[in-house]
Amino acid sequence: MTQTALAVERQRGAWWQATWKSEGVRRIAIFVLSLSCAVLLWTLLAWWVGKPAFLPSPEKTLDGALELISSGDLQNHVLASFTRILIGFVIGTAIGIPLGLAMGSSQFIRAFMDPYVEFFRFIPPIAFVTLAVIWFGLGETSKIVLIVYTTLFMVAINTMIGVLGVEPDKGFAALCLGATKRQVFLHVTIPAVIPNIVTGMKIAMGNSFMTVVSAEMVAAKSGVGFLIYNSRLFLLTEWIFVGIITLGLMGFLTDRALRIAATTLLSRYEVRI
Amino acid sequence: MPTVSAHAVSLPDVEVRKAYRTFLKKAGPDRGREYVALQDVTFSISSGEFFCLLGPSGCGKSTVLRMIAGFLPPSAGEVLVRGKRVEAPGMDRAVVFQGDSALFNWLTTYENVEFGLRMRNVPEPMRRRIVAESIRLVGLEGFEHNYPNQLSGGMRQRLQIARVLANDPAILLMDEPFGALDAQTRGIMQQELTRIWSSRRKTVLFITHDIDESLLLGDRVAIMTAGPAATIKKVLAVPLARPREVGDDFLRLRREIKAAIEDEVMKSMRQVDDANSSGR
Repeated sequence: MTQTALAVERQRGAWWQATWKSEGVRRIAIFVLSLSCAVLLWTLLAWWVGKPAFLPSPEKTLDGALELISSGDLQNHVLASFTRILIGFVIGTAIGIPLGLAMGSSQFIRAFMDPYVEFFRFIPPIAFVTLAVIWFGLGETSKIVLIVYTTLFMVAINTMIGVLGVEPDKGFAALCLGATKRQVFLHVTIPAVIPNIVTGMKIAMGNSFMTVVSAEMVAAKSGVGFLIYNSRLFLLTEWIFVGIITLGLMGFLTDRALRIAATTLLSRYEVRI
Repeated sequence: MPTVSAHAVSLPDVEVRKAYRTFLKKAGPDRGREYVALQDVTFSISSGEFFCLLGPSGCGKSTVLRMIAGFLPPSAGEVLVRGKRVEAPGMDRAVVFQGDSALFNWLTTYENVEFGLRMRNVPEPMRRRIVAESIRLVGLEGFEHNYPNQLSGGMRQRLQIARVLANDPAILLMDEPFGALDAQTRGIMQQELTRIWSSRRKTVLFITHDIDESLLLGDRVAIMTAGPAATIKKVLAVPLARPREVGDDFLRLRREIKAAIEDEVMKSMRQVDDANSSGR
């Protein structure tokens, strides 16, 4: 081997080492490895069971997914679920933030709301599904109302906890600097509480997924929850798998989107989620 | 009748008259009972004076400051600032807090200093000038765009000082501002504060438990007794020229204060022991 070839070889080795040492590359490599292991295990298990209606193989599930995508059904279901979540989430947040601020700021409102908070805390939104259908019908309203309920609750409570946790010295400092009480609320309390609001929104987003799926299973003609529940009638187990994986991906993506939005738009508020 | 100008009559800037402060105990075996934190506290600070309040930990020094700041009313007695009864926090009294929980961590150095001016709708060009000057005075140039968590402990205390200076208050209330700093940084901050005070001549109430710090900074030093029912034990003048150094006079004053405060520290330690043994 010539000198230059040796040098090239050594350089290549260095390149490999440098690449492996880079945090990002290593994370992606481990991610791919982890995923491959799951698919392999799943394939083996499906082959061992040998009953596609009981446990479809990854291949069969992929076929099912492609089938659902080419017919446009999957996209429609995803869109239906996402729309419900988004509308309910936005309305719930819009009511939850002011409610939480009011509960945190006023002893009276906090004491007044306390029995309801303590009572409803233990009732999961799923418990209200049938009631929502009776009251608001089979249309979109019943599902959106349920998501509003779960979001509102989470956002309001987290906001309230945030307000109660603001160091009193921050408010005192602002008063000494010439701020009015209203200014203290707008320019000290609210910015100080933003991390708690975002935490509440993040939890609410997770809950919204659970709520929408259970509502769609009981009463809907569309949505990922409907897809999962309806597929059982035709024993299309691979479609159930497609629905579940889609849900996981939807959750992952919204969580990422929320995180990126929060950390870039609200970075100064030290939002950590 | 001869006319006396307002300046000639030097009304004290801060007057505390027979102030008492009680709290309700919130925990422990005697929960709900009244706890007398301060009893019969009387002193006054004249305009432009640097007044140190010295005492053992937990004696109620901060409570005195909080009453003057208007965060907390006295249970009995009076707190007057420039002849007027204190009822609420006001812009004439700025507070530099212990630790940095009072900084606005979502605002940069520049924005923290600007806060008071912005709340009061001071026009933008003037605001910019005052902020730049305050930042320069405390030596934080180059850190305008850093957030508080990107500053060192000493820098954060400087930021607190810059923030109150921008508002140009008549009275500065400082609650152990350098208590959490290391010895080196504290020494530098003490010099800086002397320099700033010499150029701006504010009335200062400075709370500390450090005898040397009080002697380096104060025109007068008030020694508090240990709580409960803490009060002013003695007020000492410090007739030393600035900038101060540790010399014979300094040491003599230090001995005097030390003797006075030692009893109080012993007393407060005995109380802690008693509390521990009675709690068992």
